[in-house]
Amino acid sequence: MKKTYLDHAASTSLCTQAFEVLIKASEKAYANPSSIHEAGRNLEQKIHQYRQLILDSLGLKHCDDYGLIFTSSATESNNMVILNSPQKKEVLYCEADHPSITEPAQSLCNANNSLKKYDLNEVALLDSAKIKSACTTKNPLILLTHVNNLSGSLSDIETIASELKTTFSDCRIHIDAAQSFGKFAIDLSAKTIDSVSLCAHKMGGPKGIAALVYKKSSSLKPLMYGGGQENSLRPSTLSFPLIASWAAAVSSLDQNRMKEKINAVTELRSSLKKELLTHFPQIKFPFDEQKTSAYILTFIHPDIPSDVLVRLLSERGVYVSSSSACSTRAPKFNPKFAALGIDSSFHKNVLRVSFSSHTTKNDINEFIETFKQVTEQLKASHV
Amino acid sequence: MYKSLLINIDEVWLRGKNRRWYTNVLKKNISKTLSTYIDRKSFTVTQEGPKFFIQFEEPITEEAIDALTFIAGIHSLQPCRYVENDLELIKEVAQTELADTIKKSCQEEEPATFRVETRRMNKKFPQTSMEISRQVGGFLKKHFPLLTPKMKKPNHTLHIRVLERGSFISCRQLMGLGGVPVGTTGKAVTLISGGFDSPVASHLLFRRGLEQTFAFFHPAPYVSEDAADKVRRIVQSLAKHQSHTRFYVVPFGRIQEKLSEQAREDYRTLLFRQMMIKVSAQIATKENAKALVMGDSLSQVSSQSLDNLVVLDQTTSLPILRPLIGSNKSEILKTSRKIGIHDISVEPQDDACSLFAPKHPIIRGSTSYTDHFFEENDFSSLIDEAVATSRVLKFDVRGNMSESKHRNSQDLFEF
Repeated sequence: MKKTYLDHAASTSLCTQAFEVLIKASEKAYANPSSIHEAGRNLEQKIHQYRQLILDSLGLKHCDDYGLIFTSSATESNNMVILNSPQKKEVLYCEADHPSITEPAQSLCNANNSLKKYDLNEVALLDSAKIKSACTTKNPLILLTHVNNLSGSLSDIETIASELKTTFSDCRIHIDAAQSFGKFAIDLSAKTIDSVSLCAHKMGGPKGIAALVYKKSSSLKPLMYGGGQENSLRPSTLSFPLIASWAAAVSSLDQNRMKEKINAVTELRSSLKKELLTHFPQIKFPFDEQKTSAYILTFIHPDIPSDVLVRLLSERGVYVSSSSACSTRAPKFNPKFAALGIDSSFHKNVLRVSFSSHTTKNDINEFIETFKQVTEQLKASHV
Repeated sequence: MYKSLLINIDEVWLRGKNRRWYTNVLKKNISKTLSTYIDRKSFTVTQEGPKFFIQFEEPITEEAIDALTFIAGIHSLQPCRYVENDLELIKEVAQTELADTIKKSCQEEEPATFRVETRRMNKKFPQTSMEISRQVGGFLKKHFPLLTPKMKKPNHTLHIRVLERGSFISCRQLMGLGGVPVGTTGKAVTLISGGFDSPVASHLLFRRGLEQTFAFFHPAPYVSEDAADKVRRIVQSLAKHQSHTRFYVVPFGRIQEKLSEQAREDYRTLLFRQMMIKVSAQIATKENAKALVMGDSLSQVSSQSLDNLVVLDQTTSLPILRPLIGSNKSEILKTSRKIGIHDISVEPQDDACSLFAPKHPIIRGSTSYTDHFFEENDFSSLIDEAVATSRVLKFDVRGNMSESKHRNSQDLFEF
């Protein structure tokens, strides 16, 4: 059976360069980068260069104010920032954020931190006025998502951050860029953003490696204790092959190509949307195309629960998501969808299709055909 | 926001007929440094008497201003606001400048003192300097009820410079490095370590316009890469004084090994240093440098006794410049703090010297032994090898490593 994978926002394939480097590094570069012998030192130097390569891609060439530590996942990076917030500090987040933001934030409740939720605007984007109005202290930790994993909403974080810093010059701004890194440009050169979580496996890098980019002036403490790696902020033997492989994926990025890819994917997404509307006029698109990542299309089939659709499509080799893969067991009312402005009567009907730069028109056709078959089948069995 | 910069030229302004050459080099150094921050086309540098004027299209950043405080030959610099020669306009801009300054110092709510200091170079301007100061001061006092005028040590001094081209207004004045522009004195090889003295020696001679290439003797494998890394950071900091910096990391462990095997124990340290001088002299030939720079201070440690310095000076025909020769350690530390290198120097480091250090180092060394030693033992091939296998790192004026070798993406993913 032909497989059509349209769940790239959950995870995507390794790019060729990353794959080759992963194999080669796993075979040859097996030393521990923390060892003081030559084999170790050579790898450590390479890691240093990879670190710089990733920082460069964030507009931080020649900027010495930011550090980067490698972590196992963007979830870990988010946790590190949130669980590091000092007692009594106000923490602002949005209900629509990924659970790796909302859960650690909620866990702070017991630690004397005051938690504040801010709303998104009417088109599910970050809005500095709404964030400011939720804020009651001068120096909060503000958690922002660049691209929302459910809706694909793409906010202008650089502008939002500078607007927030103008009002609260002492606030700390953390960006969850797991869903956007490698697909959309992120520019930290204005130094208004204090930390960013990045992730490898959604942009063609391997799974199990991610990073936290942070302002060196921010006082971070480790979540774990051990052998002193990563300036003692993140002990654990550095996974050289994963880091090298990710760096290879990052080095193959190119700002111009990034735009070309976005244009190509935008076209695919428009054609998918058009096809869907032609065949299924009842389908709703809750999010504005102009305001979302071209790599994500979220829609609502008001008559069929999305988890049923996911299973039936899956039986036919078409893979999509009903909500974030991390929380597919969400109950009927989904506060994240509510925060994104979706009426609660449709929370069980939200389907997410996500693309990569390798997605083709054929994949889209395959999806449409299979989607038609599945809905026909349901109609036939009078569901 | 400042779009103009006034730079006062230091001592080269007092030179005679060759003054123009000195000021031209300084002008070039300033432009080069600024153009690493700002597009060269978006600012103009002009000279008027002992001052440079730099006019920018966009407000100048603090980073760029800071970079100029490393440029030798500048007496002082003032980021300022430009206004046409009109007293009313001057008052208006003075008010904005003072308001901004108070805001920056976070003392908006507190009483403070100020004065206005005017220099009217343009004698066509109707009021005298005193009159301008008085009128602007009176105007400011009315607008800032919390401010009182004070002539001696006020919190804020507002400078007004009335020139042909217009007036320049600023509350800020930064001291420059002073001295002579780099590139007007010639070039030397500076023997640098991770300690306090040699970076200070280097700094002092940058002020005298000396271009420098650095050499660090890395006792690998007896000390770790961290030692070289520490010195690299020191050199990166010093690199801000000149447009391009080359830094030789010379492998020195093997030479130390061989010397220790063959030489009298009490002479080891002295011979190590002679070898460093021999290698540096070769680097100097390669780099077209005319002298060596060392951080010696007379009698600080045994190898710096007068007798031993005499022995060291016999090692090469190149002159050895020792700007710290008469400095006490406390003075050296003070300068080290002032130039911001102390915090790096103070970091603990492995020291191979202690590994090879003789129990009783010679205090009154004599060339009769050292000359004899070098006649008996031929080190020339080891010296050649040390120079040939040195790692050469390059830095730009911001202290950033040039990327030629390190950013080769093929290399980057070869294991």
